[in-house]
Amino acid sequence: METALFFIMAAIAITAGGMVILNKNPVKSAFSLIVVMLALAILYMQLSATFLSMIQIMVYAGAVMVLFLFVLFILNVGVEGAFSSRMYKRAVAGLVGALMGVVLIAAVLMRGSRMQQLPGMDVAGDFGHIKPVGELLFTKYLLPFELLSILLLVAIIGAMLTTRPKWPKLKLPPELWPGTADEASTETGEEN
Amino acid sequence: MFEGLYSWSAVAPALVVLATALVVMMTDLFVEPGNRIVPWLTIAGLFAGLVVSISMWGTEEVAFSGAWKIGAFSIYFYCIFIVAAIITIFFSMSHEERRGRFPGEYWSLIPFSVVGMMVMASAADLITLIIGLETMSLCAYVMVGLNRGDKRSSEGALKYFLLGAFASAFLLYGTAFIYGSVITTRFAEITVFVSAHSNAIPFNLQVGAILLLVGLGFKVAAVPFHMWAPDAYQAAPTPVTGFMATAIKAAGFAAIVKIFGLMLATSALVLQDLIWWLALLSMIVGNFAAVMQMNLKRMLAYSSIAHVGYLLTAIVGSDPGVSLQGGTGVLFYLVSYALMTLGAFGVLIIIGGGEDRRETLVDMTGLASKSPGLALAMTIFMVSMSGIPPTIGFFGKFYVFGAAVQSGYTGLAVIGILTSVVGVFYYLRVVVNMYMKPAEKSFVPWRRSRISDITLGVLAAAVLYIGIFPQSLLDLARSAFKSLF
Repeated sequence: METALFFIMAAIAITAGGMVILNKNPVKSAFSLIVVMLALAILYMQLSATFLSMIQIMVYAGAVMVLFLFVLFILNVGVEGAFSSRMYKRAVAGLVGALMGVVLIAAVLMRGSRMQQLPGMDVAGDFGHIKPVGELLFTKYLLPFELLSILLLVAIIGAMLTTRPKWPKLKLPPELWPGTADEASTETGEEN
Repeated sequence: MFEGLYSWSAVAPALVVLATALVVMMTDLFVEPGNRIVPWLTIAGLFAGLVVSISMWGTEEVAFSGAWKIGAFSIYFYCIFIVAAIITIFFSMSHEERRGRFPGEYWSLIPFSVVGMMVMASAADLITLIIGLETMSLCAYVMVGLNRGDKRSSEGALKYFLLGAFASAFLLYGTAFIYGSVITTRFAEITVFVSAHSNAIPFNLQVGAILLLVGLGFKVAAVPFHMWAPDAYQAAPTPVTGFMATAIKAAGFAAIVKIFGLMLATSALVLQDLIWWLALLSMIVGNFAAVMQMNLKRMLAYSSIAHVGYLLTAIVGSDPGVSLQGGTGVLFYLVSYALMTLGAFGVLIIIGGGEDRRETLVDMTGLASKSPGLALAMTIFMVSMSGIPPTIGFFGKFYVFGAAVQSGYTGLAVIGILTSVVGVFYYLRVVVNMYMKPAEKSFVPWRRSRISDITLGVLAAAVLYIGIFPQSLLDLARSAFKSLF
């Protein structure tokens, strides 16, 4: 039963993953990505990583995908012609992807019996619940966990700075907007 | 349970710089745009970080249950990052006078990216290292895209961002594979595992190590992962280009030295051959492509790729158990490269004013008669980059190629020296243009800025001084590398 569920979910995830990259319509790609996320969440559940599974559904399948769709709608990406379809580019990309796939499959197959010899493979009874995950975050991985807050702050500043509309379109004083090289030097030069 | 969990002293230098970034970010909201207090505040904070770092030289501490290690190695890199950042801010201030204002957030992005680099330099754990790298890279993506009026700039910035994100995926994938075969992300435990299993390295670990190499290769722009570099270098405002070429590259090499020069430095990994190829291709492609560039920023971009090749020659086959020369050479080279590259970009900032972008080879013609001091400084930096004594660049090359010869890679060192000869051609072409050709265009007079004049003078003096007395820097580099293990 469990094995069957695994293979069904794996098949769904792989098929949907293929549809993400093969679909010409970006909205369909985004919806396929949601299916990938959900299938992965069930796989996590099977690994008894319940917390991760829930977070996967809430954050990735939920919040992140909604943002994706928002962006697609705002940009109003057309159905056709959104992506380059030069043959040689596809060939190169396919080749690199296939090579990568072979290496990764080989890595999984050649894992062999060495994994079992390593210590730390026994999992505790409450593995994957919120408590051990939280405990690890606040003990062993305290530093990276705290550093993530800096990363997020930088991401906020960066997003704000890069998406700020160019100032001439808005009726705001030029010095409030980033000094783009050539426009700003003439405009702000007079004010100084 | 909470024993040894956190330590304020181990993160003190990084905290000072982080506080600087936060204070600068907040101050910017309350002062008028363009107020000079913001950059000066950044410099003051970074300087405080430098003082705290230097005062901790000699201490060694492992904290955060093994995720963080501060020692001479990290402090050596802290000094490179902070000094490069301070010089970048000086140059940015004179760049502003010529090309218009930077947005206020720019001044806080520099210390934020320095925090990321400091995390990379003292991380003793793969996850911590990657978070530091991401913090640094995010700042860099934003800073590269600041020239927003220009389509070419946006293209370069977007390329940098997409390929950088791609590289991060490689790093994370590699980390996952390494975790899968060693069940840890701590450097110390991985080192123990690798040396214990050196005759039978698990295939997963090999794959993980290769993926890490690809990811870091992208970040430092080693051939064949260099596509983004020329475009991004040209797209970015020139002070940012200088910062990318020096501090960000140094941070990438801090990670490379720790991972490939120490943790995974074993011939049991196929990795060593791959690094050999990366070094070879970087030297050849970087130098020959640089010859064809008329735009000086692009030329310096390709030359920085060539310098990555020289640095990698010292890492190939460097076994720290046998000789310290490889790691020491890299650390020395990074300082020398930072000094001369910052100087060269500083000169470009000064001449590249006004409405047009004066950053091509033609714009340098006749500079000597127009501004002898500037031409002299540029000559010193170019001579140093081509590796001619008595400059710091000569000793940098001497140490890295010496290390390659010592670890038995004489062929690679010979190729390195031959390709540096190509380098001499395009570096000295700049000098020839400055001194031996009459000015083709009439120079639009530019505003002199005392700050960048002084900074350039100090850089040129440092290039010459260490070029004559390299020993003390070499000793520092050696004790820094030794502190890693």
